[in-house]
Amino acid sequence: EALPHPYPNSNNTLTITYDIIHSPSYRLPVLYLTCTTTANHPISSPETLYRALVPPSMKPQIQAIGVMGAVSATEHPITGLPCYFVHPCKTADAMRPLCAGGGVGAERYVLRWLGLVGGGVGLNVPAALAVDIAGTGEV
Amino acid sequence: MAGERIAHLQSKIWSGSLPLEIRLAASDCRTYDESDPYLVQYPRLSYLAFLLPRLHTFFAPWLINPEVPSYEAWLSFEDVPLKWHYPTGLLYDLYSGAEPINFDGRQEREAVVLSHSTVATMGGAVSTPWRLTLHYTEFPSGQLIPLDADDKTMRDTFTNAMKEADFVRNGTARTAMSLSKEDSDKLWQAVRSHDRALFNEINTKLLYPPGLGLRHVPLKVYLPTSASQTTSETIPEEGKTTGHLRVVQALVPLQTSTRQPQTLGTALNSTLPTIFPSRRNPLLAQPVLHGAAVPMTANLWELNRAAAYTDGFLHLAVVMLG
Repeated sequence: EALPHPYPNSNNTLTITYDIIHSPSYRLPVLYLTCTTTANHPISSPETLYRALVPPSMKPQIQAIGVMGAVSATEHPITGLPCYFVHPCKTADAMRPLCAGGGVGAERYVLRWLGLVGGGVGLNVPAALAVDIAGTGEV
Repeated sequence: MAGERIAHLQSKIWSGSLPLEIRLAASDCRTYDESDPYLVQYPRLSYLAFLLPRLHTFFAPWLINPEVPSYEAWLSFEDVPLKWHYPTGLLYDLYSGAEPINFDGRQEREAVVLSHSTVATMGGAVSTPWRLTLHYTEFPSGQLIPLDADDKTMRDTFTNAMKEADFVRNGTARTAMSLSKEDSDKLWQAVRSHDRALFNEINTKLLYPPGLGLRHVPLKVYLPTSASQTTSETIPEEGKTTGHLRVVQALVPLQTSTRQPQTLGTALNSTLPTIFPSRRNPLLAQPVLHGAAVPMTANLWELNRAAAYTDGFLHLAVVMLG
C-alpha cells in the first residue's frame, strides 16, 4: 500500500510504500519503507524521514534505540533499492507479552505487530480493517 | 591447533586486495577525460566509501565544482552504481566479470576440516586493475543509499549487518547489542582501518558468547537475475536496474538434518536446489568467494570463521556455468 503524506506548508508530496517482509534471519515480519517524493527533496537520511513521519510524542523513544534510532537505511530485500526499515532486534521481546496465552494465528500476530511497530512510523491500521481481520473484534 | 589453522587462513583473507584504477567522470572533470587515474591496492574486505575523502583530495585540481562534499560522490563500474554497503571484494566478485580461480586438486572427502589448500586460492592476487569511474554529480538516489559527512550511515548499515549475523549465529542479538561503547567503537575503528588484530579482539567476544550455543551460519547468496529467472521462486521485478541481483538468505544450521557437518554444498543444495542440484559438484553454477570458486565440500562453519567478511557473513556470488 502506498500512503501519501503531504509535507506541511509545501506543495511536495512524499509517498511511502510500506512492505511487510518476513526476515529469514530473524524469523519475524520486518517493516520496510520506500520513499519517493514529487519534488527535488529526496529522503536522504532517517532524520528527514522522522520529520515527515514520526509523531513528536514518539521521537525520544525511537531515537533511544541504537545509533540512529529504530529506523535505518538498507536495501530492499526484493527490489534491491535503497529504503528504510524498522529494527527487528527488540521486536521478539516486545511481542512476547502481546502473544501470551497462545492461540495467536498469523493474521492476529501481524495485527499486533503492526500496532507495536507501525504506529511509530506513520502506519496506522484503520479500525474497520482491524475489526474485520480479527473477526470477533478482539485484537 | 584448529584455532591456529583458522587464524592463518583468516590472515590470508584479510591481506587479500584488489588493484583499483579510479578515473574521474568526464562530465565532472575540467579537462574532460585527462585527469590522472587514482591507483590503489584496496582490501577486499573493506568498503569503498572509506576512499572518498582521499579521492576528493586527489581529484580536487580537476573538479569542475570542488565545493561538492566528498560524501556526495559515487563510484560506478561500466555504468552500474556500486553499492556502498557491499564490501569491495563482493562487488568485484559480482560485477568485474573476472573469471573465478578454480580450486586445483582433489576434493576433500571429509568435510570436517577446512584445508589450507581450499582457502589458498581465495583472496589471490589480481593483476588486471579494476577500472572504476568516480562521479560528483547526478547521484543515483533511487539506486544508492546516500552517505553523510560523519560516516554515520556506513557505520549504521555495518552495525545492522553485524547484529543480524549475531542473531543468525545464536538466535539472539543480545551479544552484539550489549557490546560496550568502547568495544563497539573499537570494532568500527578496526573495520575503517582494516586492523585484523583489533577486529579479532572484539569479534572473538561476538563469536563465542558464554552460555550461548552456535545454531546457524550467517550466509548470503547473490544471484545474477538471469539465474533467478530459471527458478520458480522468482518474484517478478518491476523496473529492473542494470546489475540487479537477487539476494537469497535462509537459516543454515551448523549440521544437516542427518547430523553431518554442514558443508557449502549441503547448504546451497537445501537453499537453492534448482541451481545447486548436487551437494558435491557444481553442475549449473559455482559459488564464488574472494575471487575463487569454493569447493562444495568445504565445512561451512570453518569457512565462515576463516573467510567471513567483517560483518560476520559469508557473502557468496553465484556464477552460472556454461
